[in-house]
Amino acid sequence: MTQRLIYLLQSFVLLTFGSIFIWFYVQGRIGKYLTSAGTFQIQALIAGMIICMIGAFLAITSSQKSSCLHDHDHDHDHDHDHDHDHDHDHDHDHDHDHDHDHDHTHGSTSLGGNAINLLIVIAPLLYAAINTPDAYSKSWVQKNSSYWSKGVIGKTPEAFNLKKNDSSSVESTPPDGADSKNTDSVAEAAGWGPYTIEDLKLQVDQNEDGEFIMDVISIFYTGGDDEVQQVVKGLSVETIGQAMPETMRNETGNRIRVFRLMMNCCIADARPISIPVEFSDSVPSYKEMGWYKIHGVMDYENWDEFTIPVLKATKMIPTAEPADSAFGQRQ
Amino acid sequence: MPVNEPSQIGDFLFAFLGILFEGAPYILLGTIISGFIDAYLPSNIMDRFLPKNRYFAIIISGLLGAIFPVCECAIVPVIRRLVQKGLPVSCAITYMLSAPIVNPIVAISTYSAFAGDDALFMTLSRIGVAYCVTVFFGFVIHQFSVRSILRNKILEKIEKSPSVSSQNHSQEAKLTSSTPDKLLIALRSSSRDFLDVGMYFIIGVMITALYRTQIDQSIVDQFGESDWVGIPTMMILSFVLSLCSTSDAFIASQMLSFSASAKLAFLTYGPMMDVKLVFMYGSIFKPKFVIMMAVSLFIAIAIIFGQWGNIPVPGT
Repeated sequence: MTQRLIYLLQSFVLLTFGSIFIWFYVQGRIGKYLTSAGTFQIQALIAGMIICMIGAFLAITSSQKSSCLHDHDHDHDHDHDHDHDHDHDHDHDHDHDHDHDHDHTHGSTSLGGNAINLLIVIAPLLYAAINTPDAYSKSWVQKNSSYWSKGVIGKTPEAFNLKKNDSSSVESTPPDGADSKNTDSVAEAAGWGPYTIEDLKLQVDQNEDGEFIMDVISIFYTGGDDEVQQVVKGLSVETIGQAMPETMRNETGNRIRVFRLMMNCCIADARPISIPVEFSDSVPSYKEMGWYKIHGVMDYENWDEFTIPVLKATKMIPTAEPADSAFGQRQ
Repeated sequence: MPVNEPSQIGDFLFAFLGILFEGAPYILLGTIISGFIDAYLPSNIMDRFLPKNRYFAIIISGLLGAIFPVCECAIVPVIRRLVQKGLPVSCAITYMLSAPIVNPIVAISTYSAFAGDDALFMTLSRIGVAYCVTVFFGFVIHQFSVRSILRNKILEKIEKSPSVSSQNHSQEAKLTSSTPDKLLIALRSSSRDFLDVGMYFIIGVMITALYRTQIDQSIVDQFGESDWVGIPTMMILSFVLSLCSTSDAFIASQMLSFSASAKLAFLTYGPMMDVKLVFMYGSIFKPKFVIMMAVSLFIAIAIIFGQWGNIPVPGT
């Protein structure tokens, strides 16, 4: 009886555990926790389904006794509080004949021990699932903004998604015509020629006004590639991001920071990637952490050894949070 | 729909769920493999496949990750079961520590993360040092008594195993067990392992989420100025952050304040030992052994990368 109760408890915990995964996936909230790049989101869904199936299986078979193979994990309780329906001496030293069909506790020592184990597994998950805000606070962003004074390190054109190995782009700039002085080794090795405005047009959409629609992270990474900067500098762009006050090099007070989160796998490894946004006059009133669509012209500044992209804003309007509020790693 | 406003507690819950959603599928995979090993794999079969010479077996075990790539979360339940099935502890620990690094997925992700400058050097250094350290650690473990390493609970299970004890009824039972019965045993074992290892995993995830959301990262950056401080700092960071070995290189490559040596120490130590792993290892090994393993690996990796010397920092 005790063993059956343990199986039923385990089943309940597994069903709850798996359901939370499925619930977040079905609601579309999983995208706030796991990157859409790769298979992380679908893995969570599949895992939730399998956990539920195992939980259901446990419940259905809870009364079923299995023959004991006895080289599996069965550290049963030597107090023998489980209901043996066979008749042997409980002072034995496991030299008894196991051809009987017994029903001992596998894996944990008692109902109490199992209950504590199960509580530790399910209680934090259940509490977090109910109370999560699905977003980081301003305080978290501030704690993780120490890199905001720095730009892209090294020659990492492959990290910049505009310069991806797009076949149409390669066709437009054949390697034969590449100027070795203007191409870095990685781009050259990949068969990319010099980066041109035509490449940008092929890779980036433009709005009705002809502005290039670029996300904050793409803009940030242009700071790591001189060749791309030559093309992008002076262009009109449109971007979306969350606004925060600018705390660096903002003597005239006409700048804010706009950031987006970039995560590698899950939201716990996310980093806020940001660019300064400068207004010609004073900064219009805005809500910290609010989402804004910003139109402006691209420019660059040298901050120590880094090149920092600066968006000279012409217009900033509140907008809704995009579905993919956190980007996946651009690799 | 979420009804909660972002807050410091909310940050913790947000990060906690993120790590859990990412890691749980791998734990599940590991425990399903573990359950099926339990039901279907005869005892000591791994020992039969490995060379008879134990040192050579350890050398081979360090490379198993290239054939059976498993991340650090999934490998713990698998190793727990394989040890119970008679895999020598020294080989098991070598495989457990090396597989999360010495595998093709991690090689590709490390190369991608550092692409542009010194990617090959970073990738080979990471894999090479991890392999050497884990094999050496396996040799050392081989000198230890199994009783001083494994938890009593695991030892009891090994002793109850028919291949170790005088009992031999199990083989007979195996032959007579029907497939549905074995499936029942496999799934019950899987669920038990999932809940057992999951408990340690959740405790580790809570601590990691707490660190990731409550500590100001600018404090950590201050320690990157020299390798004497930077290497141990990055190793402690890798311990606390508990990143997956398939993605940690992307984080390390962006830690601009730290040297390449410190980044390599981060990438080598983290997959072998982190907060959640300490709790998960606790389901197999004695606490004293886990502490000894954490400290000795820390010292060995710190010394190696401390001596790595003038490594050109990618991007400079």
